[in-house]
Amino acid sequence: MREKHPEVKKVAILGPNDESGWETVEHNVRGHKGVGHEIVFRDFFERGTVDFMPILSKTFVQNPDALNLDGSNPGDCGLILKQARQMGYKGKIIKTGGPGTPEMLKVAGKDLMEGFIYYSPINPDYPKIKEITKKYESKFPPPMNGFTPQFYDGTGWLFEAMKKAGTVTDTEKVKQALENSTFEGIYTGPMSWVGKEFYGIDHQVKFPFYVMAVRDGREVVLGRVVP
Amino acid sequence: MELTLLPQVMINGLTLGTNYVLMALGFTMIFGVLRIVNFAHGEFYMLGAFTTFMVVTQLNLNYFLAVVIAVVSGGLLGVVAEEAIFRHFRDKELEGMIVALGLSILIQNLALLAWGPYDQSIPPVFLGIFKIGTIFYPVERLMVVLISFCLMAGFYLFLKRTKVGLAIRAIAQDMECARIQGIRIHRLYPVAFAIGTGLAAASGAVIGPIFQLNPWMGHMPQLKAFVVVILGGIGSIPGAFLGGFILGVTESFVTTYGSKALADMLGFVLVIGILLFRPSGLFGQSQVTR
Repeated sequence: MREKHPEVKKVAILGPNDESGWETVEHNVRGHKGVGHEIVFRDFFERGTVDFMPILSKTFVQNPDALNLDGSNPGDCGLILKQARQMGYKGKIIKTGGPGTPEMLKVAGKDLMEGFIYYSPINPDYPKIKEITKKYESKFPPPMNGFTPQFYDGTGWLFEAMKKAGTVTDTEKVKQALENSTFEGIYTGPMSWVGKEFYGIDHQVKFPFYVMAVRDGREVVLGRVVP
Repeated sequence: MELTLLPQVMINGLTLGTNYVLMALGFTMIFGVLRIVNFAHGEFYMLGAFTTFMVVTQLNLNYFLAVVIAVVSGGLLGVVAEEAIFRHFRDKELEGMIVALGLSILIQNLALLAWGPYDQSIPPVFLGIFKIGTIFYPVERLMVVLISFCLMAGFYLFLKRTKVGLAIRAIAQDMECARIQGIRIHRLYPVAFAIGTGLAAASGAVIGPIFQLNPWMGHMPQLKAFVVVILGGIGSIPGAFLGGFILGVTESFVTTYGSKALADMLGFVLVIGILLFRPSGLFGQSQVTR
């Protein structure tokens, strides 16, 4: 955002009013402040809210250059984005938490979604991802959840750890094998452990991700980030 | 407090109130005439929205036609529900309530099987935004208000100007006297129920393009209808009108200047307060034992 959109100085954040939302908003605030953005407004809403005009009216009085949808679920995000654009909001709308852009497109429509910027754990045009999407959707109703490739690779990593530990029943040995390994995910890429700085222990999975945008109803990769 | 927001808050509240009124009218009609607390009312709202969704996206028909089909089918389903289920619980309020709860769960799960758990969306019908001063008002929402007012006007004229409407009002006022006057109560029960569920379906059909659809979408409108009916007075049509707009505007105000959680709480605090201090609501009459 700082490199490609230097005009963004003021940011508003809307997140779900629960433990998940309260936690991720803090990370978002830290991230935005870290690149010099000013947080002009933040608020929470109940999951399942359908009328966002009151909260958006409050938000836009602060004239944010960008609206961050935090870790809100795709249905809520689609509605917020749709109603924000219908209220005449022209600033950037971004989302930092979780997949779900196809669901958002269904709710908001491609015209209102134009220019939406978001984090994605996968590149939907990557051949391996297309392959797993096709396999998944031949068995289960579409759309495939965007977390599915990570779950697949996470399971693969666990199986690898069991092989290294030489056991499937000794959970302590499997845990140690898992903690002391990295994994090359088929769909996710290189996976390793992080987290000590925030949580005191390296038990969070780190993997490459994508910054994407919606252009003419299609998901387009803006860049790949390898942390 | 940001006072420049006040006009936007009022417009938002009146729009919200319109939807509450439409839901509450159907709910209060069913209770006023049949003495049934229809806890499946929100599911008729949901079915109205999904009927509109199917007609527009699968049959590729005009939206206005879809609304008409949704209202008619909501009414017909109401007749079926009344004749097949609720007529066995006339004058049995507690049993009727429990049966309605069961019907609500049944309809939700049938909808889940039919349409799945993912949110669906009706493609936007009306595009564009009105901007007057600091007020932004999507054309979509203006159409919701206009269509809703047409439905409310139609409902009002039906009650005031038709023999059937007069008969329904008489039953709601005093069933025994209505019977003495020769009104065939049992023939009018399905009609009243159909009107109630038709209004709920209309509310879902009208609001469908603005919000998202899922099998649980009727839950909150059902609760709001309940609050409006208690606020306005159970069985009172004018009460439902006034109560809906009072709740809509108040919620808009509290959400904008406070929080959504506070606004949601407010409705139920109002219900408790009214039941404690003015059980008949703003326009309701004291309950008469039948």
